[in-house]
Amino acid sequence: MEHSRPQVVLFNLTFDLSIILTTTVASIMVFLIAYIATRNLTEGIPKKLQNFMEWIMDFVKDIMNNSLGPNNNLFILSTGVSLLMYLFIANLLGVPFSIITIEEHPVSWWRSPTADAHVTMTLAIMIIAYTHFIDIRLHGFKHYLHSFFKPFKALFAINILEQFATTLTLGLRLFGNIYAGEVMLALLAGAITHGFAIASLAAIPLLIWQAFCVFIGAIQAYIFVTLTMVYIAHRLT
Amino acid sequence: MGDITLFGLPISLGTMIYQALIFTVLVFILKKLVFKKLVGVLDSRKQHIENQLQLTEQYKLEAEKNLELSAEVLNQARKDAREIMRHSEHEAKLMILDAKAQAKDIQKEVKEDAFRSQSFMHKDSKGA
Repeated sequence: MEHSRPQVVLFNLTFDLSIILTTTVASIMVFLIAYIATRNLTEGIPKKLQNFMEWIMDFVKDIMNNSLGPNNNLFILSTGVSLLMYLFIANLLGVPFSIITIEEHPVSWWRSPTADAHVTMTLAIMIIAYTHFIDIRLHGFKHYLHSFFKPFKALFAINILEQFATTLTLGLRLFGNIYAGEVMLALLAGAITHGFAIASLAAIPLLIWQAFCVFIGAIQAYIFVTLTMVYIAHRLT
Repeated sequence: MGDITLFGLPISLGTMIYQALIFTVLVFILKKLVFKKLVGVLDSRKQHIENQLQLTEQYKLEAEKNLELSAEVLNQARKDAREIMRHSEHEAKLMILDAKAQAKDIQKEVKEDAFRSQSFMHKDSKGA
């Protein structure tokens, strides 16, 4: 079951081509959905697609208002909606199928980008970095440094640790859920190599597990956005 | 294979940089092309609905006022009508009385006339 990844080295940096492929596809899909849905905006009664976009936006706005209080920050709202759509689509990319080429050793080309810790940890680091940035911009650098020594100085180490822990849990929660789902899917789909009887036995569990993966993907995207808002709110107050 | 290893795990920095870049670009493009417009539309719709509600409230008040006014006018009209009716009844009574008195007068006159002409005829027949 071990697949290596299609990696290339450019400018002394390693790029994982399969992740680049899937993240690009996910981004383009998010962009197209959002763009097509809001192409013909009306102030009157919204049509189906516009209604859909408005529903997503209201959903994220509710999450935002629950943790941040009444807030009209367009950047945080766009980040939340983009995250929700991007993560949901990224989580779903690996559910219907995966592409593995076998030459000298099997190379996995198509799976959920979020089933790779690089992607989720990058997003988590970006979000935690953004919360630190907000804190510095709102309260000044001095207050930011002092916040590590609160409520008293002895907790400095724990406060530092907390930042690493939140980053890690934020990224790895999503990664673990999606990765586990993919591994299970691969196992069930692999039953096809063991003959017709076993494959037909695995068909129904595979279907159920795929549905469950869709559910998990939606829940994890929601949790990621909610936690993002909570961490931002933590810095705002 | 990776650029750096952390606790024995290979980490490919290029992938992370690409991921960070593409998500940032996605957020900014969506913010500029989609969410600005969408928030604007939602706000203006909210404004529109608020305006409409205010307008309905205003119209409702106006309608209530107009209803009151029309009820008053109707009452006044009823009162006037009653007044006019009473007045006309009174007048009619007076006219009837007047007419009766006149009729009596005329009757009396006629009787007197008749009496006079009778006596005149009587005289005439005596003379003949």
